[in-house]
Amino acid sequence: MEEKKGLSFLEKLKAKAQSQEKYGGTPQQQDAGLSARTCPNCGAGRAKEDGLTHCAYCGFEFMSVKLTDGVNIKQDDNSQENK
Amino acid sequence: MFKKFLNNILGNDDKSKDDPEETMQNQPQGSSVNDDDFEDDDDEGDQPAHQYEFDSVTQHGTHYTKQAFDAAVEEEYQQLLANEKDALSEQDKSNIRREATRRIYDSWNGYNMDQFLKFEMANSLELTGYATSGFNQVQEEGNPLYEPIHGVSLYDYAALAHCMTQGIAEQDLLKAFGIEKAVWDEVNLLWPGRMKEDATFGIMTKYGEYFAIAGQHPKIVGLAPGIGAGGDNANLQKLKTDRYFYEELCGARTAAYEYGLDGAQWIVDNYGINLADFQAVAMDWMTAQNQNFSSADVLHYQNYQDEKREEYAKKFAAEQGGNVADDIEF
Amino acid sequence: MFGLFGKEKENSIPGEWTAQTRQMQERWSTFLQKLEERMEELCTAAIGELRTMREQAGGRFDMNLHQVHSGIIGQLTNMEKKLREVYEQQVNPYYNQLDKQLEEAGFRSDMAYEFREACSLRQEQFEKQRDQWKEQLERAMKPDNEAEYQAILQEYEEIKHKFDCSQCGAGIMLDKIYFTTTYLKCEACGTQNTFQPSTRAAGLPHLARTLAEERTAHLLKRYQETSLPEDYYIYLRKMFDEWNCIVPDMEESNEKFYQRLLNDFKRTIV
Repeated sequence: MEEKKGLSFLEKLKAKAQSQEKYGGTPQQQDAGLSARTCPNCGAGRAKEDGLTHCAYCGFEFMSVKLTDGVNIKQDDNSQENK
Repeated sequence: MFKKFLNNILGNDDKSKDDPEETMQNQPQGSSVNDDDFEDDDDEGDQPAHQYEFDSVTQHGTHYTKQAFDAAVEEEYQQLLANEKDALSEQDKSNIRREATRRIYDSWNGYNMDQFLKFEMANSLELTGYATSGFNQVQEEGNPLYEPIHGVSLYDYAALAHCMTQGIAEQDLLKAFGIEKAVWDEVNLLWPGRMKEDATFGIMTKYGEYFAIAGQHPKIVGLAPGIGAGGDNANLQKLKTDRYFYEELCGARTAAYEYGLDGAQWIVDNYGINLADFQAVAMDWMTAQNQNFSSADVLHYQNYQDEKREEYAKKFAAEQGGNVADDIEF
Repeated sequence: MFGLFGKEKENSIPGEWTAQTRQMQERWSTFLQKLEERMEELCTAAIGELRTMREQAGGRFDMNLHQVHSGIIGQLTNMEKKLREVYEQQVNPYYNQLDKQLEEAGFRSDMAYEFREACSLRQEQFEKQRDQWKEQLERAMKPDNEAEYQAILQEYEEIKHKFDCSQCGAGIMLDKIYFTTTYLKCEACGTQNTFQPSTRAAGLPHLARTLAEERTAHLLKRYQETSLPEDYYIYLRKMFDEWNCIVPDMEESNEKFYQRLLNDFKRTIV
């Protein structure tokens, strides 16, 4: 009986861990994906030279922040309205 | 012994005659503290701090000026340096200066460890080069380390992190802050990057302070937490106001992890408090403890938390059929 | 065999006291042995289980793995607590009583000191084993970071030509591994597409640091042995070079961290 104590404790421990919901849920494993956001106002896509923050056609504000030089996003990615 | 201490307080050196600001009677006049004096005075144990009054921000005694204090520390520091035979690193010199500060402070303000610790925390950035939470030490204005990243300030970042931990849908959160996922992904790497850059831990300290008040951020009004019973939860209110309840839950959470549970989830399941809210309250308690520092209190609450941890550990053990070594007797 | 007697024999100490002390010492040793055996049984099984769970999780973060590990460590903590209680409630009082007895009877305290010393040494043996088990448990949880990195590189090769512009359908090639959501311009129509990396690729920045530290652990160890500043500089530079090599996009940020660590270190040397 004594010999099995450690093993049975471990089994119970594992079972308990697996049965308990995880805080924030178990993160989903996602594949890479590509999409494009269009202007909800006028339907236009965003062109690189027009910047990311505002719609070049109707001025809709995609983002309200002023972009800085980050990892891939750069200051130049601000639309005219932000410059 | 006591006479020497009294002489130090009352002073008899020439410095007082030169400095017009130090004319008050019984004004500490600088220090002639040497090793012998210090050891003798230490034997007196803690002096009650109430005989002096302290500035609530700087924790300096109100019976002297900072200028005089700094000058005395400089003098003591130079004396201590002169006694050193080996070459010293910057860290060594910093430690010696800290010792000089401690000697002058104790000598001028009575030998009270809690009061000195409070003083050190309040001035930690200046004295040690490291920031402490709750003392408004960090100067953000004009400091490039605090420049927003993609327009996301440190406060914004803390609020975003706080909300993510509360289970608010990422889409709703990003929309509330007027950013897209690409911006968030970069911000979530670059703000931690700034923290690593900052040798004073100032950004981390400010982040913690902002995290504690994240619930007040104007951009998250109307966003309901997805985890836990919400802000009106009576348990959350109790956590904020009842220190013993807070310490009990800390102990319980630790015990939960020790028994293979997800402690954060256990708190949600049993008290409806999500992790973000819990950590924000933890910051508040820590800040309050720093601002009203008492080593006796710190020990008292630590012991209480340990007791509670023991209690909950027994409970969790019982739920799992006991501890693995229960049957082993001496 | 623990020495109960000092170099000088105390022949007149009652045999009963000697026997009791030896018995107490053996009880303590047996008690610790039972704990060690239970610890071995638990940890051996746990190490196997943790390895299995780690393999099943692959590069993914598995909370269950960490919970099981915490639970095992919790049991080791519980054993330590038990040990401490027995020591405080039984062994130490015995030592105090023996010491007092010897003193009152006019004997030297050697036997008491040796008893306490022997018990302490036996406890150190237990603690050493416990530490070794903890290390093994930790290692059992450790993912194969090189394999995970290879998997990320492999995934990139597989997907880099996979994507087409959402607007015009022209192919958009991934020119490098992106670990953050990124805007990619379609060369054909100029539209900014939004590329979201896989969860696996998104883990690359954190993996990079861990991997860089693993790859330069031997240099850090050398510095820890020699304590020469030059060895630290070599380690630090090499570690950051590895880190930047894995995620060149983070180089600017990383270099600022490097400077900070370098300055921190320089403050500690003459």
